[in-house]
Formats: sequence, structure tokens, C-alpha cells
Amino acid sequence: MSDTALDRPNYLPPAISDKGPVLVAGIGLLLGFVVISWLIDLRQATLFLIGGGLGAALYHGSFGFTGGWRRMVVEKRGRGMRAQMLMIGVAAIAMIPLLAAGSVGGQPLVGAMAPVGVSVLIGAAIFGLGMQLGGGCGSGTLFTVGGGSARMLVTLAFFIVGALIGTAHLPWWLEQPSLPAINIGAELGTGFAVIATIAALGIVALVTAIIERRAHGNIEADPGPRRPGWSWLLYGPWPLVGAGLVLALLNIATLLLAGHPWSITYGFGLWGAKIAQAAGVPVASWEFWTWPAQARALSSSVLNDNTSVMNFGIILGAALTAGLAGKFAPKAALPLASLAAAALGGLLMGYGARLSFGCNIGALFSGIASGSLHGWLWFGSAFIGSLAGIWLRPFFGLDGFAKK
Amino acid sequence: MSTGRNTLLFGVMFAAGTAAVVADHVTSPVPQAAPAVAQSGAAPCAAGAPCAAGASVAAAPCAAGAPCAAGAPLAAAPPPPAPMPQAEEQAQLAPPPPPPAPMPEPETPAALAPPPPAPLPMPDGATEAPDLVVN
Repeated sequence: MSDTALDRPNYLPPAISDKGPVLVAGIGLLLGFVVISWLIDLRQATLFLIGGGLGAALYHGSFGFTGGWRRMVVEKRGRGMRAQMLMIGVAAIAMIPLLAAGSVGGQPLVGAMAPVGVSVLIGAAIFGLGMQLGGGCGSGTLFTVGGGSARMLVTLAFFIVGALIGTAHLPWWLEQPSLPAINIGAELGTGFAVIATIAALGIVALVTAIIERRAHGNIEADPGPRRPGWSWLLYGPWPLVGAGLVLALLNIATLLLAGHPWSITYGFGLWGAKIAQAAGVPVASWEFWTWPAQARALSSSVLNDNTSVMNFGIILGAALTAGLAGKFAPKAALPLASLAAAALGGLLMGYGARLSFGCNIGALFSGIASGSLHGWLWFGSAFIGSLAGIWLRPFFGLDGFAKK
Repeated sequence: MSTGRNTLLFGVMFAAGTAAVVADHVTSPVPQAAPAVAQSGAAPCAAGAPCAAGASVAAAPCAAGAPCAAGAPLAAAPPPPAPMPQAEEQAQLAPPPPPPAPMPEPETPAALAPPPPAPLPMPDGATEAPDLVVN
């Protein structure tokens, strides 16, 4: 064998796109943009397309917080976590100064701020536990549903139920001890806030690298392109770091366009409330849904809600991407125990996200990138909850601390 | 390679989801965009996180699930007044207003207005919208 054969990249076989899903998802994105432009406005339609971009990046990058955290804990490989830290850091460099400015081009900007208290502590831990059972976090659930995972459809359904139940209990949780929202940018000044945030994210990344090197003697590198030329852009997979950078840029774009950073789980609670209301449950009388913004959202068209529209875009973007890669709706066994884990995980994630004011995206990604201290509390608490979730996985026939 | 059954399942879910969105849009109005001055906090309430305690002065600050920037002022500063139109010629001074008319002497002490009627009892099941107090 010649030396050149050994140097040939290990390419994937050519992708055979799933024409049906590509057509449906593509038309869905195009029609959705036109219809939302007409019914709401161009800005909302653009947010829908941004959601599509997020879905594509999430899918092609397989950018999952759940798997990344589990891989760090079980295999002592931190590439996924380091990509997450990089993504949050890039977003923070832009978002903290933008939020300090208060507005851009007449668009007021609001960060993902929340009180630092018991609600976040407990809610994030519940979410972390749930995401390991459910098989995905907030963004992970959406992009895997978009990719055609029947199991994650179960997780999503119960995610919505959990979020709805969370809205019923949130007023009580808000009465528990907490500090007010702490804006690191306001406390330290924009420059120091950015530096402190980057430093803290860097420390997390460094810790993962130290653990990985001690366990394996090396640091796992991002694999090179798995397809020839630039075809990997269309058919995937994308490098993790690249996908993370795209997600960071699109979160910044969301902030500039919507006036607030990317979030996901608020939409689930709203969908649950609307479905329950349609079924005759007097959700409108629940305290949470009497608050002005919530009452308005409940009584308005779902297309008027930024988060919901972006969620629709994520699902369709992931579906289009999965179809292009020829991986839409893969055949998968669905044992009953696994489905039970999906249901329980979804419930816990929905409930936990409502208590902690968001998921891995709204609280962790957008919270930290906004300079909100609650984002760090969420991170720590969710990671601890995730450890418990990994420990529980084998009870449902899933792999846990001992690799299968 | 995708399976036909799974793809069909998702096709059905997609159709059902689209129908639900259409039904919701048909039955729920799209609210008019509020004018910028009227928006409290000079910032839209975003999803995912509640208001900071700094907004406690409001009777109904942004509720949980709808964050406000910590410490953001609740009322936007009013726009500066429009400049006074410049007259092409110097305007003539308006004549002084007439003196106020003398107060009429009441012949009899004014009768006290009757007290307002007692408020109607709230309908069963109705509740006041509570103030959100974030500690």
C-alpha cells in the first residue's frame, strides 16, 4: 500500500438526501417566512428563519449539552463542554456591551436576568436530572425532534406538560428566599464583566482539559471535515467549534432583532397553556397567567410570541438538515423503560426550566452571556442534577456511569 | 436510511401542529404593537426570566417568564417637546384675560353629595390580579 493511501481522509459515504422531509421542511420554512411576514411582521419572520439557522447548526454540529456533560463525567472527554464554553464566551463578548448600551438602532435590549435564589437552585437541579433521563436538553429536544426522533417526541410532549405545571407553581417558588437579579455588567462595569465572564468560562474549560489529559494522556481534537470539499456545509457534520460559533452569532442576532436573547422553554409553557385552555382548563385564572405579559401571550396568537416562532424554526431547520444528510427519522428501538425515562425526563425538564427561568439556552447560554449571575448558579446546579440523572439512567435501561 | 413509519408519524405530527397553529391564530388576535413611550421599562419583556427586584415599584412589573433588565426604569423618558413654531413675524401680544367672575354667595350651605354606592361584589371565581413581589 502506498503512503498516499494512508493520508486519505476518512470521508463518510456520500449522503443520500431524504427527499420528502427536505421538501416538506424546505417549503415549511419558506411558507412560514412569508406567512409570518404577512400576519405579524418581517422581524418576526426573520426570527423564524434565525430559528431555522439554529436548528441547522444544532443538528449538523450534534451540539448537545446533555451528551457533552455526560461524556465529560463518564468518559472524561471534555471537547463538548469546551465548545459550549467557547460559544457562551463569544456571545458574552458581544452581548454584555450591547446590553450595557441599552438599545441599538431604536431597539431596546433586555438581558436574560433572573433572581438568584432557591427557585433557580432547585429548578436547575431538577432540569439537569431530567435532561439525562429525557435524552436531551431544551435545544437538544427541539433539534432531535426536528431530526425525526420518535423518542424525543415523547420527551417534548412531557416537557410541555411539565412546563405548564411549573407555571401553576411558580408563584409559590418566587416567594422562597432569593437575591434580586445580579447584573455583573452593572456591578463590575462592562469591561471587567466581560473579562470576568471569559475568565470563568476559561477556568471551566481548563478544568475539563486537565481532567481529560490526566485520564487519557491527550486532549481530543475536533476531527477534520468528513466530506470532500465544502459539501460538509450542506450535508454535515459540522465541527463542534464551528457549530458553537454559529449558535453564538445567531443568539446575538436574536438579541438585536427581538430585544432579548434566545430562549426556548417559555414557548413550551405557552403551548401547554393554550392546549389546556382549549381543552377547558381555566388556565387564564392561574396566577402566573394573570400577569400582564403572560395574559397577553395567552390571549394572543402563538405566532406573535418570539420564542414559539423561533422554536418552530428550530424544528424545521433541523428537519431540513436531517433530510439533507439522509438521516431523517432513523429507525430506533423504543423499549418501554426508555419511553418512561423520556416521559419523566421531559416532565422534570419542563418543571425545572419554569422554576429556574429557562433551560440550557435561556438560563445557561443566554443568562451567562447577558452577564446575569443566575446563569452561573443554573450551570452549577444543573450539572449536579445531571450527575444524579446519569446515575439514574441504568434504572431505565440506559447507559450511565458504566459505559455499555 | 429513514423508516417509512417514522416519517409518516412525523408527517402526521407536522400536519397536526400546523393545524393547531392555524386554529390558534384564527381564534386569538394579534395585539397591536404598543407605542414605545407606553412600554414600561423602555424594553420589551423577554421570555425566560422574571423581573428583577428593582422593578418592585411597579404595580405590575414584568412577571416571571418575562424578564426586565435589572434596575431598568419602569417608565421610558418622555420624548423632548417639539420646538415651538417660529412665527414669520413677531406675534402681537394677546390681550390680557378678563378678571374672574366673583364667586356667587350660596344662599344655603351646599348639600353634601350623596355617598357613592357600595361596590358590587366580585363574581364567583374572579380574583384581583395580584402584584408581583420579588424579594
